[in-house]
Amino acid sequence: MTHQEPETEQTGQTQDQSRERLAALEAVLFMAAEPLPPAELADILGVTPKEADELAHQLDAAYAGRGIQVTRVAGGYQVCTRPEFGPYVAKLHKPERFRLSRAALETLAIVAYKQPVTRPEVDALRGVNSDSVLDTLVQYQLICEAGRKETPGRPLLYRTTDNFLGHFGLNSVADLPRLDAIPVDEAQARADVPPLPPGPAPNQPDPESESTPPDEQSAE
Amino acid sequence: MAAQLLEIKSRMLLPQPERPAEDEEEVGDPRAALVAQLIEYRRYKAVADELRARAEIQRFVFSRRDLVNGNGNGHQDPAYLLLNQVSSFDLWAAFQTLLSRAAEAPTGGEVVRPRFTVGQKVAAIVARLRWAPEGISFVDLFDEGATRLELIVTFLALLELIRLRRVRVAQQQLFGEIRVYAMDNT
Repeated sequence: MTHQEPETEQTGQTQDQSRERLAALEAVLFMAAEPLPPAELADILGVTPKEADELAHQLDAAYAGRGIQVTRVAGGYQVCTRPEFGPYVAKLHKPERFRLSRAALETLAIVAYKQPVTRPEVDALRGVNSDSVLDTLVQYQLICEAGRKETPGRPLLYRTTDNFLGHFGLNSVADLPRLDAIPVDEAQARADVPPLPPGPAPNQPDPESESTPPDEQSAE
Repeated sequence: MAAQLLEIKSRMLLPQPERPAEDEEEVGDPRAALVAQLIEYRRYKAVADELRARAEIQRFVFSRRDLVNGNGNGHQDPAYLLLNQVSSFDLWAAFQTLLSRAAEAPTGGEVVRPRFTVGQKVAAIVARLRWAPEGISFVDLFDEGATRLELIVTFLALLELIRLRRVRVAQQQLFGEIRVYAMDNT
């Protein structure tokens, strides 16, 4: 079933139905406390999830140039204010949105891509202890525990939460850029790794070993 | 990374089997691993920058969710901080063990146990913690020979205290002893 009725066959009734459904969607999204997934909207409005998707897009189109928009976040649709007018809204109820440190954002990125992931795994990727950062992220409910890994020690696993998606305006973790598609200056990286301190080269005898090396013997 | 450097250094100190002279490649290998690690890390940094940019936009996006969920202040979860890496699973598992050993009915003796409520148990725990700055072991919070009902009420009291941020719980080792401490603001 499609909503694209050819012009000539549009009846007054179908147009009204469409308009009503759109208005119903608007009313529902206006009062929804959380983003609503298409399936749930479909239930509420008495349409199919695909129709719900379409209606949401239609509503967003209708909001062009207005102060609000329909966005797709954390797997659902949500009516929210446009960022351009955020400063006005902020005067209204002065929200205290926190800012994350570089370390927190990096750690969050690692959890997002590697989830479920343990603390030691995160530490290894960052090269530093990440305990306090991870604790902070849990406190902010951006990550949460996701069971334990079935390896010796049974360490706790972590994953990102729906809050994480909402905080960054993502529909799902899949919306993050593909890691291997991110350009990194490899030559720069090679230059940035310090040369390792000299040790005995692999196939030369250790000058401090007790056995007499063959070349020294022959030199005598 | 420090650990890896150490590993590489120690590996290079060990006697190596005879190899055809291709020193350049041999020494290159461990560096290559570090370079790969650095590249991966820089990828995460790049994503982190993008996340920051997104967050900056989202700072100015509001929805009814903000009204309902209180100002988007990060929904700080006080209980976790106070659980100090003791997962709620661990606490529950410890309690289940205790519970399984409990008596069904009051054990022996003529002494009549006082009736107990969550409130009373809360007060009792707080009182005991006041005199124990070194904390009290989780199992010691529960009376020997207590009935299942009394154990449950005591556990509820502990959970309440955690929720109210009046105690914190810590576990030094996995499956090790769980200890309960009073929070300084008590």
